[in-house]
Amino acid sequence: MADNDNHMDQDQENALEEAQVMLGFAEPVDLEEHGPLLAEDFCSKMGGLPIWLNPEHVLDTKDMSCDQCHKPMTFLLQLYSPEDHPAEAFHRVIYVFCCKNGACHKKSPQGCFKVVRSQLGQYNPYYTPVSKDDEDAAEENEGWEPLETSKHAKTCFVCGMYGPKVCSRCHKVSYCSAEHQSIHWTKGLHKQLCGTQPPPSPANLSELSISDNKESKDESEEEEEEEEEYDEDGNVIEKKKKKKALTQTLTKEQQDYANKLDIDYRLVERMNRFPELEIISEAEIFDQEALEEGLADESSGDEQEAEEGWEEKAAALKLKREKKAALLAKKNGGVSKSLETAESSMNALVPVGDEVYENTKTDIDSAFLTFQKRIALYPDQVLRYARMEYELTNPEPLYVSDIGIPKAGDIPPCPDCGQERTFEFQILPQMLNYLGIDHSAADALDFGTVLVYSCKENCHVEGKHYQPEVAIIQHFSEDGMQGGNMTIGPNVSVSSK
Amino acid sequence: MADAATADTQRGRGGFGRGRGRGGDRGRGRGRGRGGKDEKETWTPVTKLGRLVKDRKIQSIEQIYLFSLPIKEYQIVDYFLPSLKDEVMKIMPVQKQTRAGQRTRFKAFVVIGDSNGHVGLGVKCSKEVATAIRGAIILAKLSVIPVRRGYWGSILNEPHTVPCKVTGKCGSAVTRLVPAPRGTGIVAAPVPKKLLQLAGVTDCYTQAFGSTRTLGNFVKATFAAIGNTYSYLTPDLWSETQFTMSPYQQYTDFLAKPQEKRRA
Repeated sequence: MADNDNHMDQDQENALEEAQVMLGFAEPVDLEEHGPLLAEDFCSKMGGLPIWLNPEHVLDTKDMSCDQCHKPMTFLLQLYSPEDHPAEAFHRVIYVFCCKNGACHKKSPQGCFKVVRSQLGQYNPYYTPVSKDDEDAAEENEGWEPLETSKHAKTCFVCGMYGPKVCSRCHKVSYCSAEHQSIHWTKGLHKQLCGTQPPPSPANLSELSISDNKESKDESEEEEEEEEEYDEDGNVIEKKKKKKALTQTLTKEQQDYANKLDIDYRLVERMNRFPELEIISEAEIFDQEALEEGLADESSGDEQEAEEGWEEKAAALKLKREKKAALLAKKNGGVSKSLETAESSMNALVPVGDEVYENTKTDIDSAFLTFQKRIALYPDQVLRYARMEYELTNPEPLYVSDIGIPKAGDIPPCPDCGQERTFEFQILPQMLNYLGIDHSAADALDFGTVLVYSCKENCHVEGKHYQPEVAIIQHFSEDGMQGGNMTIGPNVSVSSK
Repeated sequence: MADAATADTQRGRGGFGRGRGRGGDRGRGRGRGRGGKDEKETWTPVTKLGRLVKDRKIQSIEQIYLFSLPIKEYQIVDYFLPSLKDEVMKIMPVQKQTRAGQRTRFKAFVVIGDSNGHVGLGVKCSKEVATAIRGAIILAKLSVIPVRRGYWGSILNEPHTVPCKVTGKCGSAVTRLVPAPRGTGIVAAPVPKKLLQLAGVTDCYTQAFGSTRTLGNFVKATFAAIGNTYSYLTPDLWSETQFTMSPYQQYTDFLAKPQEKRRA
């Protein structure tokens, strides 16, 4: 088996074998080591512009508009998840789009996330097939180059979808709609740069709207955006060679413009896109038994008190805590009054005979606690990918609450082949930390988790390049952790004596 | 079937995480960029309230209490009240009869407080004592509640006692808290005394009814009584309140303006 020693150690290799879930983490794009994200990298990413698997046929904004506000949706993430089973799914990417306006989500969350699946066979007109027969070598880093004959559709500069319109002045930049053209005109500095510079192709303009991976703006070697591929001339490779020379001059001049106008480039970038990050995968290593024991912790009704054998353990633990507290108190200067007096601790441990009918139930949101326990192992995970094996049973998603759990009837079967859709991956709310949205706004984007269900068979339809899939949104419950059967509320008055 | 054909791993399908081409060594594993120790300490918030707290948009926990927003992440409480002290009230073994004998688990009651107006109570059951205590501490943090203190007589110096007679009930245990003059101390059984000390109440008379030997009920009744201090409408609260904006709405208008300026 191919082992990439410099990237995965033995533990992770083992975990990969038995892992049930692959976790995704958001990492900034490492421009020095790997360069910008390109289509032939077949990587997973979030934010920025979508990298189309099929560069000739790209999504149209008609298909990707919010159901509520009818504006084109913003690209959220794409996952490269190849499959072996149908040969046409050799390359397979799932794109997730969402409406940036949180108000639409509040009205009806289900219409504000759209998922499509795009797949390509191994032998396709856009990328070279694997050069060697040995798939191990293919996994390493050989063989994937874009074909020179591959055609590229025009993409909108602002949203990355199909862009049939062009700027009326310079005829160089494509747009999908008039709104995006005006956004680029005003916020995207096109007003200042249209026609005044050497022909600004999207490749060079991408230098302007710099994603916030690099802190320094005058980094002349920045070539992060993939738009150089979607040049109007279709001349991909030439542009690449020319680009390096051009970028060095352009960046500086446009930098001067920016300084004059005092505009934050990052603001321009984020106006319509989310910050671009790469999604790195890692297997979830966890102790199944410990987790299950933890899950079964909630009190059941038929428990009675025990009396033997536990006193030593409890007393020993108490002693340890007391010692620790005393040590801390000494460290802090000794004056802090420790409330753990000897007598009280003794009282706490004395078993009392008739405590069988204790009311010790607490009103807890157990689904949320389960969720928290599971993510506590890897707190900054943003994605959970569960379709790892050709299993008989479908993997269960990690729900965040008891409400809104989709039942079997809620998920429509695949419209093309009629097969059922199974759970593939879910987006976790930690991703919202990376999107650069202002959480204090009343209509900020918010969700508990987004469950994505996709066709089990990865059906392929000739001519249909983007097949819709289903996203189910679940929100957190509004329950707090206290209450239950404690009477916290209006005063219960007792007659005074 | 195709699943046997891949030379990659025993897995039939690799899905996400299995790279092809240059993507292969790029997307897999995370050897780089992992802080290791670092990851454990930084908190990645999950709920909206957590994100607001992490961004320092909320100044005090009182703002959260004012709007009764549910606190689901205990790190929020940790952030506002770093000096919370916890106290294990009792560890009670409970048993369940199974076919293979008895299954014993431990129930831990933990009371937490900063002796300055905030208390919490947590109950957790687990196979091991340490796990139960840890879980109970987290639940206690999540249930932290503000305590209103007042005066017995003259309104002088800091509040030292409960503002009025309050009572709380759980099961058959009823606890009644009565204001006391300064210097009285807490006149109570050890269990509610601990709780009142952690709440920051300096002087208090108590009366307990019902079966106070059931410690679970007793401590919950006292906790309910302490919680009722802020539910009681005293005459000084009769004046009309000016409603302020919830933390979720506070900054909307404020942020709308500077954005306009930046667009130029």
